[in-house]
Amino acid sequence: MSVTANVLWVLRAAKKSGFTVSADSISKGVQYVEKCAMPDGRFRYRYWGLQAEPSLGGLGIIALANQGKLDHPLIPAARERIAYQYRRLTIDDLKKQRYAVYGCFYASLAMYVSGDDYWVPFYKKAVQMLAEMQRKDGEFADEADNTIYPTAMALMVLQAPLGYLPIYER
Amino acid sequence: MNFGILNLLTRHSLAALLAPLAVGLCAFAAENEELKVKRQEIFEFTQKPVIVRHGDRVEISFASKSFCDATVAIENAAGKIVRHLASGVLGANAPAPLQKDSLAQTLIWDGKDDQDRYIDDKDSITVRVSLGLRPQFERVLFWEPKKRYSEETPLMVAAPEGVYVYDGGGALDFLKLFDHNGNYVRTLYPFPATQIERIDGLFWHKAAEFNWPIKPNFLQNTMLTSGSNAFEYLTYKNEKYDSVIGTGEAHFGMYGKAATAMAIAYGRVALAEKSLNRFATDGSSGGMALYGPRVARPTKSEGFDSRGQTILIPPRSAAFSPDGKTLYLTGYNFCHYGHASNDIVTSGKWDCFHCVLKMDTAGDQEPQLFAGEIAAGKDGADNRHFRVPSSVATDRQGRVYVADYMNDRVQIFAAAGKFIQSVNTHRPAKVVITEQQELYVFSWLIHNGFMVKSPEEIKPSLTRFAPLDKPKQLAAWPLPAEFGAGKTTFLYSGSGVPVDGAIDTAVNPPTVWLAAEWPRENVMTRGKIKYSNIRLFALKDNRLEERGDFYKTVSASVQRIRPAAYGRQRLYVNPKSGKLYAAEGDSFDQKAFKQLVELDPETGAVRLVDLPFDAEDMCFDHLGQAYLRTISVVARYDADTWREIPWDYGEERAAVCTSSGSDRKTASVLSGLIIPANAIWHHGGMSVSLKGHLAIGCQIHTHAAERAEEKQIVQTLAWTPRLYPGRLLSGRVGAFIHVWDERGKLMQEDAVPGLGDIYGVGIDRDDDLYCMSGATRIFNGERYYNDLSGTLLKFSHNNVKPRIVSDSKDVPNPLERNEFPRRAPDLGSALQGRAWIEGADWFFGGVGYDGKNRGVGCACWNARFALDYFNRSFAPEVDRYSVAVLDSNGNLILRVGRYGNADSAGPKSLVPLGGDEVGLMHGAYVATHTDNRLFIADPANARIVSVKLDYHATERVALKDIVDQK
Repeated sequence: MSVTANVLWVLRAAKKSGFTVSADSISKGVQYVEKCAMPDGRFRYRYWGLQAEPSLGGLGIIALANQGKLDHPLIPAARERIAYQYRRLTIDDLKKQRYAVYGCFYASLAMYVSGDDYWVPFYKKAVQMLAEMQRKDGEFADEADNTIYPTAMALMVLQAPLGYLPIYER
Repeated sequence: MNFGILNLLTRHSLAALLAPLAVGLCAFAAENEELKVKRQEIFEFTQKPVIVRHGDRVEISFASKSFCDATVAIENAAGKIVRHLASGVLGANAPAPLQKDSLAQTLIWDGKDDQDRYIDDKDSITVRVSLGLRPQFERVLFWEPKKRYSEETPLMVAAPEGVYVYDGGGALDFLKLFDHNGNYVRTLYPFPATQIERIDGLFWHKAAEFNWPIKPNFLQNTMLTSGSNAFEYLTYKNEKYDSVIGTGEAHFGMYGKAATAMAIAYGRVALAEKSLNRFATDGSSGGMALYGPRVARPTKSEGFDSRGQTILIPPRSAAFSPDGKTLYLTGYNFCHYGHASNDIVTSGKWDCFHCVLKMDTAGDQEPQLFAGEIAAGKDGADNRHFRVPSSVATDRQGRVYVADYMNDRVQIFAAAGKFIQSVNTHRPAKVVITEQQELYVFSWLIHNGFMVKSPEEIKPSLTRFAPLDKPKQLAAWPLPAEFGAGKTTFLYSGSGVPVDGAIDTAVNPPTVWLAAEWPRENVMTRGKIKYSNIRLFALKDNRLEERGDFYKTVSASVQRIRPAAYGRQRLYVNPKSGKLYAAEGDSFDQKAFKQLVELDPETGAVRLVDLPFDAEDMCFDHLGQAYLRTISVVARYDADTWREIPWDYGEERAAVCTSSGSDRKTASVLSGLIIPANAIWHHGGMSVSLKGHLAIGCQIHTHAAERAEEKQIVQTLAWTPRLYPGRLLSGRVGAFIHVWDERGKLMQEDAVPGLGDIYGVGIDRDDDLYCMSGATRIFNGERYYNDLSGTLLKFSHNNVKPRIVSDSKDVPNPLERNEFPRRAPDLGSALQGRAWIEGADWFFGGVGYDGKNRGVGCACWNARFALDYFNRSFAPEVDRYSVAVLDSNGNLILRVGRYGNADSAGPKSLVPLGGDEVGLMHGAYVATHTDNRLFIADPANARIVSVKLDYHATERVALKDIVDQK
């Protein structure tokens, strides 16, 4: 799921940059993302999998929305699911989620594109979570103690309101 | 076979030699603190539970009158536990979140279920606080008294009170009494609990809290020593097991039994094979010493597996004199077997001791010659000789009747040995004197050397003669061909006596009981054998009329005709349905299983469930999903439909199976876990936590693989364990525990490095790991009294990384002498060496069974522990007839069970026990349905015991009655 969604992202960037992208390739990618979707708005890592990955919710939305399908029927459920999670769960709960920083980054893209009603409460909670996760040396880490990639992702989330990054778009 | 000097001692003389030592050293051994029950036995609330609600935060307070065990559960509207909050013994070592050293407890429930999901409808929730786990016998499962265990024919003796049946095989022994209609009455062996203290000669282990009778054979599964399951080796002396006694062959007792000949009369029972065991029909030893002298005849083997070694030829028939004081023995007919392949045993040279021996029943002298020639091969046709004497019986006057098989006659002697007369009859295989003093003669095929030279087709029959004074033939009946028709063949590999029969004249018309031995299973017979059982026929004028067939009874009740190989009945509970599943090896290796026996604990109903492939092991998660493994693949299934539930991170595999035999069952797996393991036979177990995390024990051969299938697997093994000095790694003794998450992603690799054999893995909600090591506990430098017992261990995820070093010779990179920890070792065994364990939360010794601990046996017979969702361990104490229940801090909460046979089945049973009413003989495999039931597989009682789990005191508070102060 994450590979497919990121490939779709690359294809979209390529298309926006003027490259020719096969519609069939995009269609196949979208179909895969659709297969990974669960009725409650979560996404599985692989379409045959059983468990949902909390970190994939945002990725699913972007993968679908970025192809111009803003009204894709899977988006509302996924959006509400992320909103619910960031509303219901405590900071401790959010921190304990698998790949919390990755998930937060993908969710931030999805919430940003959904408008301020979603973005503002999400961002407040995300900032609290990231603040608690940040180490004394400023880094962020994942379960395997990787720091570079999570730190970069955390910084992108935190700086999103500055509007520097074109990936945050409405 | 290699018989050491111990075998020069008779069983009785050995026991007599050891008895004074035992008495001299029998000061009550202090039970180590670790093994003592920790809870106090008062179960009262001094403050009933008080609940305070603050949104998701629910505060639960209560107080207990004593430091007993307390359990706190969050239940939904249906009464199902949605959060297992706490359980343990209160006091100094109370496990979190219980507070230590406090009778008053305050716990916080965070509003989440076991899977960390918030429960929003809290008004549907009830908080339950319970004190004092209270197990109580509920019912027997999978028990059918007519189920047969013996491959050789069961031994049967009719008496006025019914028909006694000795059924021994696969290392297990049963002596039961059936009534004249074939209905089960009671069990004589295993001895009734009420009589166990009246068995003279039994060894008793004396501990501080209580004593228990010793099962002195290598497998620690029987008190009888007369037969091949004890292999003539007592492994208990000087208050300890010492399994190094004897040779490595002792473990072949797993294929043995206690008797090839049985006599029952006048209230006395004699079981004979290698030596004599004697007791009384009331289940006591009747004032005799249980362990008698050797009765087998030694000779030099010419067989394929023991050429040149001394082997012991057992008698095949026994009879008491009318006063019961003298025992006659005969039937010393035997074969030196050859083999055509690893699998196929063939008849070789048959030989015979053509004699009848007699002995003092209660004495300690070996039997002496009564008639015939005691030297092997000395046969004859005159009245001083026999030619294959196969059976002996006595009448009320003390006359001795001998079936002289190849001389076509029954020879009759006075008690003093004087020949009286002959009764001519064709091929008399077994003689029976009825209560009416009539002579019945069975004729069936008895394999022997004369018939090899002159093959002869035998048609089995039964002939009735008038009493000796007028021994004319009164009647004759042909017997069904299954009872000894045919002729000796090259491929025959049985006992030589393929049938046994009894005549029950207490009913009119008399009933004949017949049973035939099972053919040996090999590549030619596999799947083709009908595992027959005892059949009853009424003796009509000139025909037999069937009165009953135990096979049909067993088929209709427990369905499984054959017993579990190696006594292995691994148990699994589906937490969703509450149903129990027993896995008995049913493939070529007798360990992998293609079917499960589903047992409904509510009704006792039995159903056989086909699995997608032959599995080495399995487990269930809380959703009722089944995880089946082969040696190197795990697949997940919906246990209702057996549709695969693939892992996100799995891999596709074709033809997944465990067994390498032609009867293996294979399946394609869409997305299974590929696990690093290659050893055949069996691995260390598997367990799923409430969060879906899967811990798997994996055995690896790191040295050259011995078998073709291992070589094939080794070639594909893509994982090499981390090595450090002192780490045990090689051979069959390296066990590795890895943990995968619910998506199939590896979470912990090699979580407990340095383990030897393990018998069960557990993983709890916090990812803490539990395992039952085969290695024996060492207390302050002294090994536990039972050197074949193992040790339960716990490793917390937030402790220091576990690390085990040992001084085993198998350690590839040994520590220097000065590098070992400067303290006594924690565990020890022949394979593990002396082991020092860092990072273990606690140990609990004296559990399980590992036949490899002294380097002389194998681990086909073993045991398993179970972990429940309150993180309580249920560990079988096989030698002391109990199951230890420990909390997550290793506090022994209580022990379940005591010695008892199959007639101990609750307060209304034949032999009630009191207390928890759980009677065990060899409780080796356990499973638990948290807070509902404990199941104990007891192969030596041929049953599974269902134990209801409840509490002495329980209080419930519904949250809807508590105002939320949020």
